[in-house]
Formats: sequence, structure tokens, C-alpha cells
Amino acid sequence: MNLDDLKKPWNAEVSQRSGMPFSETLRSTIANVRRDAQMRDFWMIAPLAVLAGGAVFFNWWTRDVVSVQSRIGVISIVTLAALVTVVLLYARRRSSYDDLTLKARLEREVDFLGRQVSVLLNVGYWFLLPMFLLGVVSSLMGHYERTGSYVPGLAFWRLHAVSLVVCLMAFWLCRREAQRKLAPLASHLKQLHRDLVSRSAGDSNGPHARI
Amino acid sequence: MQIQFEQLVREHGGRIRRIARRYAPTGSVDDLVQDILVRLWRSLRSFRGEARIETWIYRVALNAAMTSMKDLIRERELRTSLSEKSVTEHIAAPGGSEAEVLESFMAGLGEIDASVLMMYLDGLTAAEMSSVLGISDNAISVRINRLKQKFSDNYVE
Repeated sequence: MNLDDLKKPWNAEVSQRSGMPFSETLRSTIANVRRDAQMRDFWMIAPLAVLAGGAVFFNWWTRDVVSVQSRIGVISIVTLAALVTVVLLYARRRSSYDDLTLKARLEREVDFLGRQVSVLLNVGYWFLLPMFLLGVVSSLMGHYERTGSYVPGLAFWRLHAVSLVVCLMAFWLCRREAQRKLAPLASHLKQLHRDLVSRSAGDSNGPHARI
Repeated sequence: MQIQFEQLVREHGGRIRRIARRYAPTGSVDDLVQDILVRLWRSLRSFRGEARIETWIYRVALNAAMTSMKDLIRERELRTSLSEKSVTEHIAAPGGSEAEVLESFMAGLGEIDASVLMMYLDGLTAAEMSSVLGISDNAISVRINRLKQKFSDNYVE
């Protein structure tokens, strides 16, 4: 027996005509994939847009006199919302083509996962810390505008102790997601890529053009 | 477009399921088949018919199988080695049918070698395999020769 003798059982298996219809299940799966992607984007970006819009409307648009502190606060929130949106969209950017060569696809997936891991590992720097500090500064400014004093009361410390705990939990969850799920997956795909390109003498970059 | 796709699923469903069966963790074959079908549907518009449809199916299916997030980590833990597993662990029982030999030989290969074997058995040329995997024709030929050697070492008396 040689390798070519396996063509017969192989062809027998693959030539079986399938009764799989383009069913409602598949239709709904496709719809779900699209809906999930849209919902993810929505729930990440919409709250930030609402926060920025609310800050502009209530702290700037509807006021006759806008203090320097309020202007700084509003500009900070809008800038942060824009920054976070850009970071998220950039991190989620990936090819929608499924028919790239396997080598090209693996490279894109590894690149995509690398960006996701980086975003999650650094979430404290680009999102949580700025949000926390912005919250602290905003409430201090509000307190100053109401009372003329920069010395906050007990409610201030309670509120920000809770928000600090929430931020730390979010930080921990993001790092856990990156380290336990995404990093091992990226490692697996890198290993596949190495296996694909390194085990053949005289290998060179093959065609990447779509069929 | 929809009629063409249904025809594609009917005619190549066996091939798609066979590919999924090689790569999906136990119990998840249907999920991977579904994933491949979704990706085929999504990329159907980009298929310009300049290559054989089997080549395009392999591209999409192997991409889905090897880059799908779902179950990949669990699968990774189950497979201690990607491509260097000993074939001898999977040798079919003496007197086994060709189908059993095919199953056992395929099970002993890593992901990349298994994909090359499937395409080879399906009659794809080195150039066609090259356009699926993104490596050179020469590299494909080297892999096929190694597969033949491995098969010969383990199954030819």
C-alpha cells in the first residue's frame, strides 16, 4: 500500500452528497454573527458617546457662563471618549476576507490578537486610570463650584473608593482575559505559522492573491 | 447567489464535513461545519471562479479550522504536539481497511501536514495547494515527499 491508495477511501468520503440545506439555522447563524459584532461595538462605544454628549450638553451648552474648570472637564471627557473609540476600533480592525492564504490569515490573526492583548494588558493606562482621575477631578471641581472649597467630604471618599474597587476589578478581569485566553491562542497560532513556514527547505513567500 | 450556495453545500458538503472532522474537537464537528459554511457564504462574492472551487473551499475551511477561537485552547491542551506526533501511536490494527488506515494516518499528523494530505488526496496540484497555504510549490513538494516517506515507514511492510 502507498499513499496514493488512500485516495480511494478519501474520495468515497468527500463525494457523499450532503443533505445539509441552507437552512434557517444557518441563516440565523449568519444574522447572529453580524448582530453580535454590531452589539459589541455598540456597547463599547455608545456609553462613551452618551457620557461625552451629556458632558457637553449639561456642562457647556446649557450654561450661560462656563468656568475654566468645566471647559477643561468637558474637553477631557470628549477627548477621552474619542481616544477610547479610536483604540477600540483599531484593536477590532481585522480583515473580513476568509479566503486569504492560510499563511496570510495566520499572520493577520496573530497581529489582531497581539493588538487585543496589548489593549487589555494596558487598559489601566489608556482607560481605567484616566477615567478614574477624570472622575476624581470632575467631582472636586463640582465640589469647588458648589462650596468654594477644594476639601471634599466623606461622600466623596466613599464614592471614589467604590469606583477604585470597580476599576481594579475591571483591570484584573482584562488582564485575566488577555493572559488566560488571548495570549495562549496567539501562541498557538504563532506555532502553527512557524510549522507552516519553517519546515520546508527553500520555502519562499507564496502567492497571497485571492482566488 | 443563494441557489449557487445551496448547490455548493450539496455537492461539497461531504468534503466540508471531512475537513471539519479532522480539525474540530470531539463533539464540535457540527459547530465547525456551521462556521465554515458561514465563512463560505460571506466570501462567496469574492470567489471569481479563476481557480477550482475545491481550492477555494480548502482556503476558507482551513482558515476557519485553524483560526477559530472556539475550542482552540482546549484542543491545544489535548494535542501535545502540533506536527511531530508519532504516527506509530495511531497505526491502524493489522488488516484494517483503507478507510481505517486513512483515519489513523491522518490522526497522527499535525494540522499543517494533515491539510496537505487532504488536498493531495483530493487531487489538488502543488500550485493549488500553494495558493491555499501561502507557501511555495517547492515547500509543498517537500512536505508531500515527507508524507509519503512517513506513510511508507509506518504502513508498508
